[in-house]
Amino acid sequence: MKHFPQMIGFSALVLSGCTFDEGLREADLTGKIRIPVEALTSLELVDPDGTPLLQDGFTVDEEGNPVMDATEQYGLIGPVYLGGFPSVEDGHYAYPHPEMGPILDPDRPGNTYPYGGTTVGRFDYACYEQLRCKVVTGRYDSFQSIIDFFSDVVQEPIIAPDGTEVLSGATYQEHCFSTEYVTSDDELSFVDEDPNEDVSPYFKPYFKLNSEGTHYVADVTVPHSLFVEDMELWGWVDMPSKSYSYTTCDADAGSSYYRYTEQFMEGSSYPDLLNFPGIYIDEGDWVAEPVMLSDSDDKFTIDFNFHYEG
Amino acid sequence: MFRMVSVIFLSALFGCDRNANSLIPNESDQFPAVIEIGELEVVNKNTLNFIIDKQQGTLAYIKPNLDGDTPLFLGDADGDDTSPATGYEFNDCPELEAELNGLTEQERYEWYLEHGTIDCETFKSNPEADNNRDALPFFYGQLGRAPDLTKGGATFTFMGTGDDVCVVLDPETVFWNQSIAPAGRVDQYAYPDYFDDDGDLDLFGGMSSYYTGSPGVEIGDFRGFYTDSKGELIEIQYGECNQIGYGGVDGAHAGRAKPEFCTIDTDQQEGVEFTVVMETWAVPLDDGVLSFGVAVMNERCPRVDTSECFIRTESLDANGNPKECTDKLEYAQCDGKLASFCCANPEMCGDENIVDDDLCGGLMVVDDAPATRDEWCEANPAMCCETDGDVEIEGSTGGGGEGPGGPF
Repeated sequence: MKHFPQMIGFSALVLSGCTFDEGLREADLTGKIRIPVEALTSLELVDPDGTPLLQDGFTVDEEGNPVMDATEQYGLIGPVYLGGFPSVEDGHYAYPHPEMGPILDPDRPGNTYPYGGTTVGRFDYACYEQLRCKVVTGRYDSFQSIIDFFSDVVQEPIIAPDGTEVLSGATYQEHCFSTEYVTSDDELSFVDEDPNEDVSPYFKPYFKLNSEGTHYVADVTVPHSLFVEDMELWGWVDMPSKSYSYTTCDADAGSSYYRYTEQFMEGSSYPDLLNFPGIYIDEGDWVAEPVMLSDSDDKFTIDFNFHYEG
Repeated sequence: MFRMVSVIFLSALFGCDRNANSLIPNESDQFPAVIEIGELEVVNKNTLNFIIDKQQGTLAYIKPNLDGDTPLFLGDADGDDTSPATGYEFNDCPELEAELNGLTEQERYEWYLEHGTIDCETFKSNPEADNNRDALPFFYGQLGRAPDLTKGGATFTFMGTGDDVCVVLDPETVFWNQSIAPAGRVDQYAYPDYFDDDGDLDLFGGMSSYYTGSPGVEIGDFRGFYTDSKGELIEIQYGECNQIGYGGVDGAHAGRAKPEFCTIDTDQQEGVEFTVVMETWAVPLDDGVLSFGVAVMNERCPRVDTSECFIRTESLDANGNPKECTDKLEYAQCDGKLASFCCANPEMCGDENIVDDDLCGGLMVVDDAPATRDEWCEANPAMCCETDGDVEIEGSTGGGGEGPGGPF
């Protein structure tokens, strides 16, 4: 009690720090992204001979007959790249594109100088060389779902280093645990059995088909983005090609994997996607209609409605 | 409380009996802090070989002290009936042979400044023409310390060729960290370096239109600014002389006394003027003057000798002459015999009192037997300061792969 006045003063000083406005211009921008279901129903996959594997939202057999509804095969949705830009303009490309700075390299367009950005799902190494640049976080809730996706949808079953086909989730998990030196699924980013866990303000990168069946919807936060009044949010979805490959992933980048006789790079996305999106957007991708933000607290909804057909 | 503060205050006062003034060189009244060199030619290695009379196609080098006494002969005048011609030779160009026969290194250099070519057809078409605007094939210079709170350095320009060029800079003299590990000692580096003769220049370059400095007056950079449609100011780096450091880090620079080099791609920029900035980072403490050598080669850096043995004897005295025995110090570094050199010439290296007792005894050997210094120098004349004659050093290419810091 002797020091009670000092304690009160000290507490007041500490508490005042909790409300002190640092005047930072960066803010977390929160909202939803929506991708039309046509992104999957219009997607086509073919085998190396050109025989259709996926069309009109279904996997098909050799005769072209539909086999399995693929509209909730989220492995077919690649990473979604979302950035904040000073403005988005028409006329530079066949789709809306952020304004660009001066051209410094004749072989590259101008830099968009984004204010900030994020992804909904990112490429992650999923323990097998075959899966480099093919697995995106936030698309699978179990090891078995990955096995089934590559077996039944992409029709390229996962083959282990010893040449055997990976059939069970337990086998897959054990392989990951031993090669990645982890002891829990929580240490692996590409599989998550609790996609709806609340981790606000930074949401898990999960899509869910809305009740109307019209859009895939995900919550998103663009963390620590410079906020400038009337800035525009824009982005695109990297959809897989017919041979199930993605243009925004570099198989020769990322961490090095070196175990016994296996030596390769694990693959990673290119580092300048939001700076030079025009280099990476290609046929089949879905591009966003830009959304203007007047206040950093505005909860936005951004639709990726523009299908770039090349 | 007052007693505690007093104790702390008085203790701090008694600690303030030193300063770092001895680590700051004096400003030079002879050499300015900022200099503009002019234009350097993007030079072919055979031009350099021609000046120093080295065979065509071999790795070239440059030196500040060109011989002005020894005539150099060409063609039939070179060599005799029993030995082949040595040095630089022109293939099927009697016109140039006649023009240049008998000139010394220094005369060849001055002739080249006037004519700017050793190409046979170009010379024959107009023997009196100056074909390169008086651009220098290389440059050696000296800089004084910059006044407080200002940057010092040197600048020059070159013309883009439409292809890759390599800018190579070498500040004085030679530096290494002493190897002191009790186990796994690296003998070459076990003798300490003399730090006070080492300086450091950082290399930058880009198109002259993007340079923000005033040549000869103020050192600038290659940073530009772009304003987006929302009024945000964005800094743009227009510099094109990028050195990759350890771990793949961009924008790295080499350490003291180490050569710096970068490849600049001048594709689509033939005839465009580029500016190179050599910014003073550290001035040697021994004389307060930072001397250096620089050249621009017409090849990518991995194809150029970027070792200490390309730009030789860049350590200059007040008269612009190479400091004594620094050529042999460089030779020792290039040849992997630094410790041997230092044992024989301790005045060129660091404190001999911190050298392991067993180092020099193990290195001063001739034919596997311990030798005196005189015996060792007789067997290794190129490694002892008092012996006469140029050292024959073989340089090496591949300088683009280890980072500007180099291996230690």
